[in-house]
Amino acid sequence: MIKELAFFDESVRRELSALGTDDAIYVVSCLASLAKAPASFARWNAIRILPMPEAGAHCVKIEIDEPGGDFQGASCLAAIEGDALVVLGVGSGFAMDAAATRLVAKRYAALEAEASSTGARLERWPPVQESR
Amino acid sequence: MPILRDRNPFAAAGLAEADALAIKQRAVEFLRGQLEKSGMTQTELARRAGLAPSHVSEMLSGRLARFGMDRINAALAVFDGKIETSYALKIEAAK
Repeated sequence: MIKELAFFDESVRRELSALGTDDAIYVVSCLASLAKAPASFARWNAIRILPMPEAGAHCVKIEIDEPGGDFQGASCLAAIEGDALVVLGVGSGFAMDAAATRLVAKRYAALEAEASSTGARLERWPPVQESR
Repeated sequence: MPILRDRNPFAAAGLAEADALAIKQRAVEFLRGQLEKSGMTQTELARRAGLAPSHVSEMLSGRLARFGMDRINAALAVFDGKIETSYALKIEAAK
């Protein structure tokens, strides 16, 4: 199922904006293509989809590399069943320190609570876990 | 907790010129699909479009801020595609 890309809140927009316009657009472009077709898009870019259970049962970390370029960034996502793929955090570099992981875990828990209040739940994404 | 959502992911992200970015995104996804379907390489696409291979590589990877509509139209033309833009001049009548 094609997922619509959404953002947790204004603070995630600010994290994205901190990357600079060029890289922010690149990250959104990658995530939007990934949300539509995770399997085929992985062939186009150096994207790795990694489970991030320390932040939430179905939280995934997306490591975005740039073929021929020097950008490296990480985004954390969670999917709402039958609904959007929500960006929970964005940063440059692949490494995430304990504070950043805790922040993503907090947002994941809030998203999970929000979803359950409407009878939805967070689900595994992509449906068949893949990594490169 | 307001989840920020929009049919256009660039608008949801709060980025400027989100409409133009969404059109470029669709065009790039179309090009990726055509390359996959046809088996054409990026180098061959660059040659046919008259573009530098590095520009085609950036385009297909999603570096949407680094190229204009003219460049993506050159690539789309290889597959008989085109982004059409329209312009309108609006001038308020002098008071």
